[in-house]
Amino acid sequence: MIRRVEELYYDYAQAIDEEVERWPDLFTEDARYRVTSRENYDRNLPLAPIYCEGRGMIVDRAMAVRKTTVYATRFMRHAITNVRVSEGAGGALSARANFTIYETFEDTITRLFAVGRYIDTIVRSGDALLFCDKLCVLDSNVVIGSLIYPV
Amino acid sequence: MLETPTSAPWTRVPYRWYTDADVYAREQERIFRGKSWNYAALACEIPNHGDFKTTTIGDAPIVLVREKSGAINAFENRCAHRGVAFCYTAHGNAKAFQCPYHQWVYDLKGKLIGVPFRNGIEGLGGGMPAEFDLADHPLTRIHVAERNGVVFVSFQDNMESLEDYLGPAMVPYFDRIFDGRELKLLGYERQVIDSNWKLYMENLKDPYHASLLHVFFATFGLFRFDQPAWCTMDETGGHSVMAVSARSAEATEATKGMKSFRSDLKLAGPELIKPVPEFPGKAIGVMQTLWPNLIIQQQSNTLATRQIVTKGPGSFELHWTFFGFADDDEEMISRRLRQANLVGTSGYVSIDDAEVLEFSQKGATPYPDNEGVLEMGGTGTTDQEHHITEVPVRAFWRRYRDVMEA
Repeated sequence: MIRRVEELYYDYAQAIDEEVERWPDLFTEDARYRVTSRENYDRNLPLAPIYCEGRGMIVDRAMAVRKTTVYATRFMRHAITNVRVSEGAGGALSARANFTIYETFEDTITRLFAVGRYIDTIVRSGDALLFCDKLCVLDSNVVIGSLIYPV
Repeated sequence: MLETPTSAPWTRVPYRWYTDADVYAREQERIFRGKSWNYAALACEIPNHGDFKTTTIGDAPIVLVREKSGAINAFENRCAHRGVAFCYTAHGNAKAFQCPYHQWVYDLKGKLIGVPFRNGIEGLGGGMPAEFDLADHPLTRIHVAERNGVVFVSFQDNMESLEDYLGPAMVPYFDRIFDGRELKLLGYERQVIDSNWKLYMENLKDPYHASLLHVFFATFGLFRFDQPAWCTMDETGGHSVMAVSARSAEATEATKGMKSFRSDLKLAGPELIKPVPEFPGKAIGVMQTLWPNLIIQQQSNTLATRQIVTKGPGSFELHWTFFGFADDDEEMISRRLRQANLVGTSGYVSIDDAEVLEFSQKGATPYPDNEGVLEMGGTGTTDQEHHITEVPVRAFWRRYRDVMEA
């Protein structure tokens, strides 16, 4: 099972970095997707800079990256590591992983953009695995510029 | 070198004001440590006796703590001994503050109450001179003013009251959100933006850009030129309100000239933009900027304070504190959290602003002798009943010149 979960994470990374329109396909219809900071997480504060309830809001996030947001062209690269899986309730899987995100602009060298951890619930849907709850906790409380792409 | 019109100097902004280290140093002295009430916290962040938080006013780190009486005290985060920023955690609860370096201890009023080995060690000597008096070495207190749960600080003695500082045009807008109900902290966002801090203040005083830059706003009907809107300033020009009422996502005559209106786009999760009216009056969105470091945001049902923290001429941090009210039901809290997607470090409209401000800094930095132009809506600095204007930006520069050139 760990191998299949790793495949899901690698597909997730590739989707964000190379074809963000496809990224929502990796979530269930009623999925929750949140990106928050360490301080909000540690202090049980519910606010999250990205807060999606349902795949519709996740689709809109991808739409905004492509259609409505004004930003300097950049390329993101996710490295997802330290994947661990355990059986959760009702046949779901609980997964943890670390992420490292690099950011490259057209005219600069690559810089480290963010690191953190995923705290996820994954379910089986036919032959596929999909995220039904994904919480991304950024190690830093301060974002460099803005969170333009999904984490 | 361009010539600034003498009759309306606020229609021009020399680019060196965004880049010059001497200008920046003068701003710290004149503005942030000058005769200003700076935003510092929401009182609900430190609700109990001993609760503290650290923050930064301009360049100056400070500590806020609630003492036993319930009053909030503020100090420079600077030990009276060697200048150490003694409080090095963001928030917590303390019975007293102990500097880590030589363990000088201060009570919650800032009084020095302990100096290790003050009398030396018996048989070895050492210690402070006999005339050394603890009372002579307190923490440096700064003044605190609170209105309806919002905490401001000033480094100056003899400040006017907070109410006089805000003025009669601004207090009703402030009280519209902060009406005395108990506030509830929802969470924080922080980001570093590589532009001068004033560009951010200007951005929140510039309705002209709002429906042009922000495709999301224009397309989904949250803020558009064809909606009733107005700009109000205080007498000094430093504070302002941009307000908009009514909303429609339909195409109209006005949207034809608006490249940012994308009639082809639809939201898959439209609940994001379904606000529920909750404040008196006809405005559905109000941005209030308070000189020198605060923006109070009411965008539909998402509420936040945005605190500007300067980081040199070419960079600043924006600290967002999102809140609701203690009597919010669960549905209202969910609504506030969902709508927070519009703003903040990943906000559907805020990203555009953060990016464009960095482009501004990049464009202006090599040309300190050039100037920006602010003539949309005329050359004056008085209130206007529409948003096709830069009038609050001009008023800001009037105040800025008054403070910096006095």
